[in-house]
Amino acid sequence: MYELEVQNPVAALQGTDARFDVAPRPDSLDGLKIGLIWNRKRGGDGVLKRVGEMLEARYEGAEARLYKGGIPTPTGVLDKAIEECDVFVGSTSD
Amino acid sequence: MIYIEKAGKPTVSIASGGFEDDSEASARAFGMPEVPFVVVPDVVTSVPPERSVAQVSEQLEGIVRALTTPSVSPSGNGHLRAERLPGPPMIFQGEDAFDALDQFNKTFLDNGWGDGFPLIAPTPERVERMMRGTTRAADDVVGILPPGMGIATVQGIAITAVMAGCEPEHLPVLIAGAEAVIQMGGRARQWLMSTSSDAPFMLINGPIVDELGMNTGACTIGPGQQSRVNIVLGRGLRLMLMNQGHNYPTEMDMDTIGSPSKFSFCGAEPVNGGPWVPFHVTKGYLPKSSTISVAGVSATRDAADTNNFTPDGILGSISGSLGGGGYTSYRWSDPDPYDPAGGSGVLVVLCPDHANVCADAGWSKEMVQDFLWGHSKTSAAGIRGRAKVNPDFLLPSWRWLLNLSPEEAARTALPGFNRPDRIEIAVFGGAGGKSQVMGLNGPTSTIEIKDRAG
Repeated sequence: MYELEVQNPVAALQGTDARFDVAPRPDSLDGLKIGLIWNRKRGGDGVLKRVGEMLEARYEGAEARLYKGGIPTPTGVLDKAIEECDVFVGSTSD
Repeated sequence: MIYIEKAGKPTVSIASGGFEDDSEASARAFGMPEVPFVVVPDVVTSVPPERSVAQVSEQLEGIVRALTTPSVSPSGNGHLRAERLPGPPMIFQGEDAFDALDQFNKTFLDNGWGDGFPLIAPTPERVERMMRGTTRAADDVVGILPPGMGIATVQGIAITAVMAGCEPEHLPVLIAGAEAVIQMGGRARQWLMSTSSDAPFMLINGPIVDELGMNTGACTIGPGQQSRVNIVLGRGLRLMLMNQGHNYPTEMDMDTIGSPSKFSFCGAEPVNGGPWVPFHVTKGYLPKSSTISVAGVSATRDAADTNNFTPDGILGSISGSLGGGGYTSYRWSDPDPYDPAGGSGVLVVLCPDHANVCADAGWSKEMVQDFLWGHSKTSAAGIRGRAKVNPDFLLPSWRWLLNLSPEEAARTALPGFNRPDRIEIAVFGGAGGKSQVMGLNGPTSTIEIKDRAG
């Protein structure tokens, strides 16, 4: 029997060491402002607008607004959205 | 979305089908594995808008649940798979050494830690020998390596260098390669993860080229005995990005089709052989410095000309290979988020025969860049065609293109790049009038190779 010892090549992730919890959730979206963060991939804006329409129809006083982001979305856009809205729906990937 | 969650506001992301692992890996890379996402079956950019809009209607319950229920991840499981975690040394048993080696290779390749070809076993002895190539300590953190934001250490890079077949004197090159990628900032994450098949190209300059015995001549970036050092260095960079940067295919490397350039992609300029100052000197380094330049290359195109013997004749031919690729889109559509005034770019690798014709006629490298920029033709009709499908595609400064008549558009062509210096020039290769054009996702990132032992 032959034994071969080798070392593991996988690096630890920064994210594993610095782990964050998600934000607290509201019970309802009634009356909340919903930020739609578009990554500017084709078609994502239409998808987000539809989500905004559905949430506005379902929750009284809910109001959705679209933000043109990018990959990545500039922090200035995100900071403005955070200031103006309560919850967020974003498009990611292609 | 993690930025928003950290600010205390709930989010949910909508991901396209096929990007589930990618979304989950990105979430854990930034330290929030429970950040929720929902999945629409089709890739949004690949289907008509009405279809993707219809699909999202079925995800409404998941979206509401993600925004209103604490710590619920509707699609992801939020847990790191064992093969994506660092671990202690592993023992492989076999009937003999060959059998144990087969077991090692099977496990490493099954875990996704390799490129598909057999690997060299990173035994403690081999890793320790590899470490003798640098003066840096094993536990030195080189930096946080994208796209997975892995904590890249000198020892971690040494392990992947062994796997690639590198020698100890190659290790400082790969350490500098990691630094060059990190120096790119968020752009590196973008091209490493992209559905475009951007491959990590590395160009080596300075005395180290001869000291390592690199090939700068025929078949520089191709396979074979003459390019052994180039090959293992290119493979070493790729295996490092995979295992230290978690740039694992289908997870944080989402190529739609992929590229053979991802197996190994390394060139080198001759130390004293080029007609102009070397590439790294144009980047601000001294000729005596040894450097590595890294870029995400989306495609290579042949730029042949064996008929002309004047600079404008040869460069006119090469300019025909410059426009039209996806890498040129930043000029017309979204501004490059990392360099709004810079935009798309290319690396033109001039073969020595082409470069010498230009230099012998008194053309500087800058004159070559100016000429190629002025002759990089992108058809206005083609740009208009894409804009009609999606009017938001065009930047406001190019909206005038929509007012051209079809006839005017057909006879209008524009330089494919914002500035001449977005056309970078390198010179290497063997005999023959065959240059190459490489589409770049951002400019090359150059850094000095330091901390070499002995």
